[in-house]
Amino acid sequence: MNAVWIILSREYLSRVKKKSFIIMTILGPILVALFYGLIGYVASRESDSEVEFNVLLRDASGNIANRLNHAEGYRFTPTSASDDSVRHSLIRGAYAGFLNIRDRDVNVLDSVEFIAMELPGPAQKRVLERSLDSLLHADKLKEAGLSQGFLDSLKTPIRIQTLELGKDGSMVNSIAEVRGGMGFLMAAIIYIFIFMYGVMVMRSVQEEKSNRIVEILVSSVKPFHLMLGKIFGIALVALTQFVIWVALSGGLLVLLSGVIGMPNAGPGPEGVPLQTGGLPGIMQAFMALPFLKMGGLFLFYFLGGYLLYASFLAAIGAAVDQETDTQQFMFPVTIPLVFAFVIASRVAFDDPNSSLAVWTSIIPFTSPIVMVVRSAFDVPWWQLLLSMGSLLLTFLLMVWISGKIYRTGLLLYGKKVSWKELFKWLWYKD
Amino acid sequence: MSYILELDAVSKQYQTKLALDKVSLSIPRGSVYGLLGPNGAGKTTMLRIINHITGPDSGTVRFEGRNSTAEDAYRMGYMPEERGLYKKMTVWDQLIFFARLKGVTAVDARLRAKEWLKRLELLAWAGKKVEELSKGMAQKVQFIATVIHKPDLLILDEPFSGFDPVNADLMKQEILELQKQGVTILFSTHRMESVEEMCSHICLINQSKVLLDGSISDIRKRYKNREYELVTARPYEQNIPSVHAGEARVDAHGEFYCRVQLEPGANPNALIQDVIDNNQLIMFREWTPSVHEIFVMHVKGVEA
Repeated sequence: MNAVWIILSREYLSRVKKKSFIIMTILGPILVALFYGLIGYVASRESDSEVEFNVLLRDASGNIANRLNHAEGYRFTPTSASDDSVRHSLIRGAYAGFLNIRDRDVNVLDSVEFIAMELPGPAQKRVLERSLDSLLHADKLKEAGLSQGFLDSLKTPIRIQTLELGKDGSMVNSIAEVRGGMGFLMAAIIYIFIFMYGVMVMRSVQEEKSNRIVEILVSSVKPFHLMLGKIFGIALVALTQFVIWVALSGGLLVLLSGVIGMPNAGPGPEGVPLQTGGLPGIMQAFMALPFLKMGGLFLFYFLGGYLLYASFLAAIGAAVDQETDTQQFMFPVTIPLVFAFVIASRVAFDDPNSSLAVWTSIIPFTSPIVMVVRSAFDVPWWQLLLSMGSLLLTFLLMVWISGKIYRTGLLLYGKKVSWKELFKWLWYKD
Repeated sequence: MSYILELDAVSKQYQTKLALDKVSLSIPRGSVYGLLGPNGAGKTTMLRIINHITGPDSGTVRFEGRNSTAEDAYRMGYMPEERGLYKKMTVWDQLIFFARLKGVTAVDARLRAKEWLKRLELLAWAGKKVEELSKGMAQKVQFIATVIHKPDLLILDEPFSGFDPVNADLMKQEILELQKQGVTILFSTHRMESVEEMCSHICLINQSKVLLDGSISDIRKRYKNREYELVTARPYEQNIPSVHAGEARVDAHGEFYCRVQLEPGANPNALIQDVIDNNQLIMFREWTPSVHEIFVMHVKGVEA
């Protein structure tokens, strides 16, 4: 056990002391914030594109041309010129495009065409379609004898305020989207960390093998202990990084709420009215999340998932001679993880209790990612126990299997390994 | 004589190749034991079995007279043929790490690391990463990492490969110094001529089998054949009947070299007297085969 501890502390300290780790850990949350800021900025700029399409419009129906003037980014010039002359003016560059309403009855599908040398992008095309759509819409309403005002009154927005009733009679503001969002965030972190740190384990094993340090190591440490020390040492690195990230983001959040003036108090004492909508409501719903339960489950599934995949990756690192040879063994890691991640997004924003969600949150190869999303909602305890138990068992089995492969692979050089070969190694004696 | 390590009928089979075939040998405590043989003879496999990196398929390994257990590896120091250190780790951290791994306390590890670095003139490099070191320096660090836990049995796989002559000599000195302190040295090499002067005992191994083993003087005695080397000022002429002249040549200094064999029971003094009377004696010594020559004789003998 002492040897495991020495290996573990070397793995941990040598990584935590690295400049790249320190920079990544401190700058990480800031970079993420900047990244999202940038995306928001770009998204908000997209709409105020200044380019205007100067478009010729020929209208066979006769009642569109005079009303079509509010399509953003377009300027229309009515024309009755022939196809040929229109085409000429487009080629000359006098106009950017030609909108042709061919049919008297605009309702007929394919009755409208747009011709240009440089076609508009999808967003601009949608603008045009929507403008035409709303014109026709208004026409139809008029035919039916309804006014626009009546239509607007139909669109009265209803938002259901969801309040969760506790056993003690207290009521807590709860928004499904906030729960899903938080759960999804945790799933994303687990997904990224399993990949990042799992591959780190694999690389490190592979490196020790290829520069032969491993021969010296296994003359004083059992290969199995070496593997455990390495996996847990790197797990600690991941946890360290995660804790620092949470602390930093928490700090940023407090700073922000101080600046913007968001209430960062909990649901408040009896008698204080519950906020319903807007940012304060979201904040309140956020603060009312079952953080202790979610945090505990996050830790369990993060460690369980990481250990499951990292031990497998460690075995792969030990089995191959060069890093390039690891590719063929990566797909059993990549496929379930990516699959789980896709499901996680469905679970988070769709239905946390669909049968797909339930089963993938119990199967250990996907549960670390799917179950944490569900943990933001209420999960029946038997599902939770089943999921945690099966993850624990699978993880133990995987460590055993990996230990076997690891031990045999470490000292074997110059051999291209196959799945069949790995399977055989399981039955080797010392 | 007490043996620190004994192998008894040890065999090891890899998937397609028999690496060791019922190998038995005994390593006396305090000896410098050379394991000699061509590449692929099974030397590295044997060393790995001895320090518990891998286990034998059959046969027993005894350490200090009892069956060897994994704990015994803590009393051995092993330097593999392909040297390996963590490139990104400092010399100092590395030495402490390897010492701690072998069960040395943190305090002792620091004391010994300092002592050794000073001894091998590396103290100024203690804080440097291994990747910044020259190859020779890195090999010295490797050597310290091998001996820092004061092993009773030092196992070196091809210890001099890759060393420049100066450092190779330094290593030899350090190894012999450790031997004086009572450490048993076991090393393997395929370059037999380079180690003769160091070894007290050898084992010749070829194609997974032990050809012969024992103390180097015993082995030489076994193979000497009443042959003598003569260097004379003029060509040697045979004047007495009990001598059979063998290979003769003029050496680089213009002196005459001749190898002769005496008949059983003949006295070498008669030969010397004859040379003194009729020629001028420059050098006379008994010829013993080198380890390499013994090896060649053996391999040929086995094949014949």
